[in-house]
Amino acid sequence: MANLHIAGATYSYTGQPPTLVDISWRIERGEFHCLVGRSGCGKTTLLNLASGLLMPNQGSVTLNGQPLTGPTANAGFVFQSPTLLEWKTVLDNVLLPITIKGKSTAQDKERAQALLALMNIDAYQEHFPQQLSGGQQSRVAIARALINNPAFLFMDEPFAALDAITREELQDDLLALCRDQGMTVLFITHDIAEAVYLSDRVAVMEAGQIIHAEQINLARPRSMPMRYSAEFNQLSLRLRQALLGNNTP
Amino acid sequence: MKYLRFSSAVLLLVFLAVWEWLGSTLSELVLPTPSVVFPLLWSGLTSGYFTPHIVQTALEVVFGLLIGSVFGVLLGILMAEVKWLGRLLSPYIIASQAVPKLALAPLFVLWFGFGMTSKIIITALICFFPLLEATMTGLQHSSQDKRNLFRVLHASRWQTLLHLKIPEGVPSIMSGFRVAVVLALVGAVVGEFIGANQGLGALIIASQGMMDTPLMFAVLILLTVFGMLLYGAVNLVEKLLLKKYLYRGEKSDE
Repeated sequence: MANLHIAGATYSYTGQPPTLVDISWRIERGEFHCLVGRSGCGKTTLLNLASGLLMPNQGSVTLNGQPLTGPTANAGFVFQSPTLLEWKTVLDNVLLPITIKGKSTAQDKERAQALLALMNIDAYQEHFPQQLSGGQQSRVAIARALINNPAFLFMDEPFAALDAITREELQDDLLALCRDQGMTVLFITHDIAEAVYLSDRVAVMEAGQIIHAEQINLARPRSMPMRYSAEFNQLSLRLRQALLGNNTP
Repeated sequence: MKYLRFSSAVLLLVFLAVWEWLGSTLSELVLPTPSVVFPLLWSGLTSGYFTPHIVQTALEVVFGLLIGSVFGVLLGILMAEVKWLGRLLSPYIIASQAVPKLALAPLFVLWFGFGMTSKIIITALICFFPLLEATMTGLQHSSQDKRNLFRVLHASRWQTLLHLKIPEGVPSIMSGFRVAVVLALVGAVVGEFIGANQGLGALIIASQGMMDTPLMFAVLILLTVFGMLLYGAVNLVEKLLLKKYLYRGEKSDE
């Protein structure tokens, strides 16, 4: 069913040299793809293009063969900053995608609470965002992205503000959720190990281009011991070399 | 904190003592002493002499403030949302802001008479601009990330306005309101200076005519207390409304 196809997409912000040059990429339904690259290489722009927040100057972005004309419906977003509304409680922030369209039901509320429990911040549901730490805010933002059971998930370094242990826990939770719901994910990270652990496929970007694509054929479901396997380290090394601009391991 | 409050009270006593001393060396026509002004103020209050004047000025301030604020906020929202309307009207807004509103007071008295209407209109006009300005800036301030969030949630323009722009603008609108409250009292009193048969401003003019300086001082004290009450009321509203925005508590640990 759902597949996302980017073909020859070029994008430049007005009056600036192109941020993305001739990008082609394909994500099949249920796949988890990561974008890695240095800061300023165009990862976020590519994510915005893939999600329909920006339109390519040239080339096309198609969803199930239909060209995108605006933000993808039925998609969850996690932006670089948590982007919570300061005047709403944590629970109301998670329910926002529902409440702007109408009244939330008791079921919605239960689901929001379950997601907050999954993110391990259910104790803070009546708090306001500014009472939370950066990591807690990120988790609220993730719960909000998941509230409508989206078919697509676009995430821009969602775990960047988290400590290592929480991050690993959330990686496992996210993978479990994606498997359960059959979600298709495009995920930006600057952490090579994170990309390897999560992905089916990793795109390495530099200066607005995808310079390397790596298929990750680790078994699923992934588990903690895999992080220390030889295969895992081999893949990490390959990605690292690609990032450094050296394509031949 | 307690110490500061105590010092504040001491400062008031010192101020009253200096005033009393200074007043006793000067003619009552120039500077009446507190021992003359406060008994006069008290008897005026208890006998009900001040009551109609206080009621008149208070009504003018409250209605002027309400009318000016409602129109200011509504037009501010319209001008922030409808870009061409904003561009169309902004030269006129600037022009009308450049006119000293108080200079229009004689005209309004001419048009709308010596009663309450002319003062309410002057007050409303004065309160209108700070709120218009504050609303426009407040509504245009939402961050790109938040607007993107509402785009990906497929929120309509109305939903974005209602759930993002207006709540986000509330702190700015409140600061405009704070300015308007202070100006409202000025507007009403000056309006009464120009021509009125009742109100605290009219009473000041009357006391000037009668060379009754102690009465003038009593009215000034009433106006000060009234202004402070208004300010306190705004603070209270702000505390209730902005409780969520201004929360700056300790961040709880992860």
